Amino acid sequence: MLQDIITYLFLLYAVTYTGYYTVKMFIPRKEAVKSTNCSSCAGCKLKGEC
Amino acid sequence: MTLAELQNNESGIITKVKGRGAFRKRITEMGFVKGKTVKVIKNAPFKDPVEYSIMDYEISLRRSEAALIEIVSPDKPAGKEKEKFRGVVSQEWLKTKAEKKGKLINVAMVGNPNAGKTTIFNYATRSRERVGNYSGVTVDAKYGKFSLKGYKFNVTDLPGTYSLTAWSPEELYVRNHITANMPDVVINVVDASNLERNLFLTTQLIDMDIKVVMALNMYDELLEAGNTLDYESLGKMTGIPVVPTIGSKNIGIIDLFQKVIDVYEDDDRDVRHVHINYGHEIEGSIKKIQEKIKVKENLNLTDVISSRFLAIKLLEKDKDAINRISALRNADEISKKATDETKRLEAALMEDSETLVTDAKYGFVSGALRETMTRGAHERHKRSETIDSLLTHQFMGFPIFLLFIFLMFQGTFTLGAYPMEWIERLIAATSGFMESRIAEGSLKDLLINGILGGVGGVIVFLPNILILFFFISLMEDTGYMARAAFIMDKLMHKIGLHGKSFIPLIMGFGCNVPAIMATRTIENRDNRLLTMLINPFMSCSARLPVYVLIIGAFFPDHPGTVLFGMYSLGIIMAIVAALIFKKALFRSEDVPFVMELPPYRVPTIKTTTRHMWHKGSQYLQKMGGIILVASILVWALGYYPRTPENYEYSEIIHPGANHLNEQNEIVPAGLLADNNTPAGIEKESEIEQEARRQQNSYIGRIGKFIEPVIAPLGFDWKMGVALLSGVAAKEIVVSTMGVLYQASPEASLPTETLGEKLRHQTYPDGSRVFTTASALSFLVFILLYFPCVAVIAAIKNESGHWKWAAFTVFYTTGIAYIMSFLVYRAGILIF
Repeated sequence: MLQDIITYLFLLYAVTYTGYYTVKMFIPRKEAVKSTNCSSCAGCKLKGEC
Repeated sequence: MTLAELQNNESGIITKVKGRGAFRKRITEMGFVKGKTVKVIKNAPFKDPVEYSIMDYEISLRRSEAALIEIVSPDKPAGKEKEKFRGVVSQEWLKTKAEKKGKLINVAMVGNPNAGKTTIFNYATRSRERVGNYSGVTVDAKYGKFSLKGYKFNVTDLPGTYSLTAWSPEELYVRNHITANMPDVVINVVDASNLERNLFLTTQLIDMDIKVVMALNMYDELLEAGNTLDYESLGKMTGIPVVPTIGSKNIGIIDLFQKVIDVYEDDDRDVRHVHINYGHEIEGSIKKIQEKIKVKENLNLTDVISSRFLAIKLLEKDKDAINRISALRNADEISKKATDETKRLEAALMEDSETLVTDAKYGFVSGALRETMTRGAHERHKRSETIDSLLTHQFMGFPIFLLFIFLMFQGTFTLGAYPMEWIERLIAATSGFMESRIAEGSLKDLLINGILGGVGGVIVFLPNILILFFFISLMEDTGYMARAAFIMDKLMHKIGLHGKSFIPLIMGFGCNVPAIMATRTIENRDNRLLTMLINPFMSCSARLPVYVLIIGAFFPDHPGTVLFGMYSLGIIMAIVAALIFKKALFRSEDVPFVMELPPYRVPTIKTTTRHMWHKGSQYLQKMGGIILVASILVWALGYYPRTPENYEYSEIIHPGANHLNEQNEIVPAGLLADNNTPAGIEKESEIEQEARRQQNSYIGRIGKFIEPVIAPLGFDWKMGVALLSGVAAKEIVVSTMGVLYQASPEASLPTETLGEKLRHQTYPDGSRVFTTASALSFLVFILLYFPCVAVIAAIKNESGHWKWAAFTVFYTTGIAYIMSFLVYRAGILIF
């Protein structure tokens, strides 16, 4: 019983970790949002945003 | 906060005056200096200008001017202070705060690529940013903080750039950083061994009329070459104080930042604004354009950017300067004047205006050096040239490069084999210990088959990763990697790319994500996209554990050769893909660019080991993060559901245990239906039971579902599942195989290594799962298929479109399938 509970806790950690990082990967980072401002954007020519 | 944010009757103490030379001079002469109290008297109609009281008299400033003066105010506490502070703000407290804030210095580091900016940045801020003896290592700004002598420094390490024209994204980035963020002091890091070219950038900083301190880096190399430089005179001549530094040995860095403090506090006598003399004709043109720019209504712009700098840039037909001017009221008048003057100059001097300005700058540089530098015998350059005559030889260069790469891979295997064996033994011993000490159950299975099998299976390759990065670091730091780019330049041109694309490709051997970010240094958009698209074929370090595992298990006689072959195949596939894409998708002309050959340097142990450890620590972090999580998930998918068939297996181990019936209800031991009695179970072998259990698990079902698709490539369902899990990160392929094959029925000995387990895998008919052909096919698929999710996200971010990311997913997997199929079929015929 105790073994099962600890196993489920491990599983919960793994699922939460996966969910968190999957979502995080597709949310633009703060710097990336800032980069739409031409003055701090290195890749503006490529992105065509500026 | 700035002075412009104060309302009527509010006051504040000045902490900093930003803006460039002429503006600062005017404003400080008016009394707006650090530590003085200033009060708003009234706002004019439309809130501009604003009348202020300072030192008992009234002055009016435009709002844009006031925005360049930083203050602290008792009326407007900022941020956390606003929430926390409940008391009365005393003048004393405010003065202390103003003094403290006035001691915060924003520093930007600029310089040519490979001048050692990041090395100085790392020592100053105790950061561990990547450095290498080739250009383009820093592709984005890096930020760091530290304190010295009561001052706090916010340091920004900007990408290396040869000039400040709007030619490439990084040049524009550096220039915009200086004009938009207005750092208090700019440190111009100059490679002392290549002064003439490095000082060209300095001339542009001089034109910008900003506060600069020059770090004369690698000063030891200048002396070793027998040269002498009167750097104090050079500083006086250019109006920029010069501090000799040796970044790699942490020499002169404190002196450098002490000088920054002096310049920031206006305590340095050498600081003055110098006008580079461009000659009678050009100076006349600059003056005429400057007159048009320097009118009252344009003060908003000229307070921040020097009108002389803008005029020079307009003469150079600089796109960014033209853009900035277009927003001004008299834009047409200015651009007409600039065009007329450019035409006049070009006609009078029979030369392109940009060349004229560049020539004049180089004239200034060579004049300054003639007066301050005595050249020696160029020993080091001679040494570099001698080595180059062999390493970049027309015929010998390429074979030598291949030999170095081969030795690197062979070394990775042979040297890595010993520590790898120790770690394997440790894991086997831990596994045996857990087996004997922990009671049967899901947790024991998770710990042994899930975590130890998965994470342990990957961690054994840590020595190989460290050794590979030690070699790569040596090649980078000595300067050989830049030669490799030079050797490859001709080949790159043949496939429609520039030698400069080779650096991101080489970086791809480490990790494809920073390599894709490094494509920013390529000016041409099509070349940049093309380099991004072929980068996933460069075998990243995450693929190395899979190679080492499979090669070690199935090609033990020629490990280095097979590994070398895998990396070579990746390069060949990248070349083929580039040729096709260049013809089909990107047909633009190549932009010429100078290839740099930095002098050879003896790498320091500290830099090399730091680089190696940086990579190793990243690998270990992955162990505790994504690989641990993936191992748990793969284990869970293989362990569950606990259906009756799975419990039948428990019966063999624990004959007294309870059971589940078909409705998942618990049935006490001894009350099983006839066909489920222990006697009936014993008819099936333990191996068949375990095989059935795995196949009935979730992962087994997924594997069985995809098996028909991967069967033509010689893969069983477990390999298919491992490949699917590798989508998150390539190391997970090994951890998944560890979990799946660890728990497999053939794995009879717990002390067997994963490689041995793979060799013993059989299909139900007794034939081997892994043959030479299927192992090769698997290696090829690993090399070519879907790069990890992080790479896809990086391609999306850098290209700005999902379509290129999606294209990469499909074309790489498609090529992987076709190539693996061909390799497997050919392998069956040959082996």
